[in-house]
Amino acid sequence: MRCARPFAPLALLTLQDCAGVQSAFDPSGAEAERINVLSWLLILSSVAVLVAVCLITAGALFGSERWRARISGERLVIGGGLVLPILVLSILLSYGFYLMGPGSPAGRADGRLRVEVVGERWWWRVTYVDESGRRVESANEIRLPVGRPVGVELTSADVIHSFWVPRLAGKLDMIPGRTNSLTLQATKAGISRGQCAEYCGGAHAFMSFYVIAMPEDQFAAWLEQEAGDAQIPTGADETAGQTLFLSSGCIACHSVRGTEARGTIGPDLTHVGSRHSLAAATLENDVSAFARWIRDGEHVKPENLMPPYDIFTEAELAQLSSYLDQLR
Amino acid sequence: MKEPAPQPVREPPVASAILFLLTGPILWAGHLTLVYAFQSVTCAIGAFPSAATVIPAFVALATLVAAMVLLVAIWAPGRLTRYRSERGENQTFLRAVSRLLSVLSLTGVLWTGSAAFALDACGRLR
Repeated sequence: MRCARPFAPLALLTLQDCAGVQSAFDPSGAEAERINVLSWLLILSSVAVLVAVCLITAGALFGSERWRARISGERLVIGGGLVLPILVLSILLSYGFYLMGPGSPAGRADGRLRVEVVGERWWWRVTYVDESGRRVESANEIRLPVGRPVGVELTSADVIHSFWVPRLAGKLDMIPGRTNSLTLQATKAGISRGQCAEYCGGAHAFMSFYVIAMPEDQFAAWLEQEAGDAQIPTGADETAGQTLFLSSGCIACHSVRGTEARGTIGPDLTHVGSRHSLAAATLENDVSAFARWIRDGEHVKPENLMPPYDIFTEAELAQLSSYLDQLR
Repeated sequence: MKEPAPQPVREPPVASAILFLLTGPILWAGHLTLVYAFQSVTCAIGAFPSAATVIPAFVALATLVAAMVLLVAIWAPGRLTRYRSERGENQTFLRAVSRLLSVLSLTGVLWTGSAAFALDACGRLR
């Protein structure tokens, strides 16, 4: 008991990781729920095997002669080393085929909405394609209607990335020149965090995103708003910020619909102020975070491909940040 | 008269014992490599419009051949790889372990082959 005491806080800390916006043990999607059940099945089976092996080892070391004779028989080797693994693995394989095969219970996308996600170094280009074929560009955040299976098409513009939202589904690679398909079906409203799960270079660890599941009516309203052009700035600071944005080279890489900014190298910023985070879930989304990102992006997210903009005065930086923040 | 000293028992090299023991797993590994490579290359080049037919047919053929060879390894372990220990009890033990591993390998080969019929031929590449 005395030996176990120092490990108790450590165990509690470990358990803390079993919840939260990026935990596979706290599923909020149909596929993640199936993975969760399978994970617990495997964990409990492994614990049972471990306990059995410990008991057999204890029996071999400290048991009576009769016990030892029983353990050393071929029956245990054949049963535990051949029959049991074949039986258990056959059941698991059949279950895997059932989940991945044509009769799978995994939700099939109904085709009313498709989300194309392109992995870039080190951010996510997101395009919503609705049933009329309308394309709505966004970045670093995915919004989904609760309950509806949505087809997600994954590819990469440069190196191999991997798309993983543990609370919603398993991971799937994003391979240049190939499109992989995944169906996401959020079962409840809320925020989940995703992460690139394949090392893709310098800022890989900061290549994250949020998935926001919303009730169907709210999602429809949001998509309409997202499809629209950017708000025209009204305040003096915001208007000055827009002028700075359009004249300082930002538009070479970024697009803001409704303005002359039509760059396609970096993320679309039309509604950047309404997103849950900045810099692919690296910073919270507020005016000060915009300023920090523009001036000091290399410290916030080392090796990211946006050059640091230290040409602005403090006042100009505040104006530019205010303009970006009001893009909602 | 002095009795002649007993000659030490000379065992064959360890490498041949390992080869004899691992006949099944080696065949299993070969089958998996062949099937995996064929499926991946066929799907990656996308050259076959009839990949959905070609891949299961190839996998079925490779699985059938591998299963037949493994059955030989199970029924007559000395037929594929020769190993003879001078000690009788060693020979019995090695034959039993080789058979056991071949049975496991046969199961693995059949599991691998069954995927070709249960899943989409060029499904998700993870």
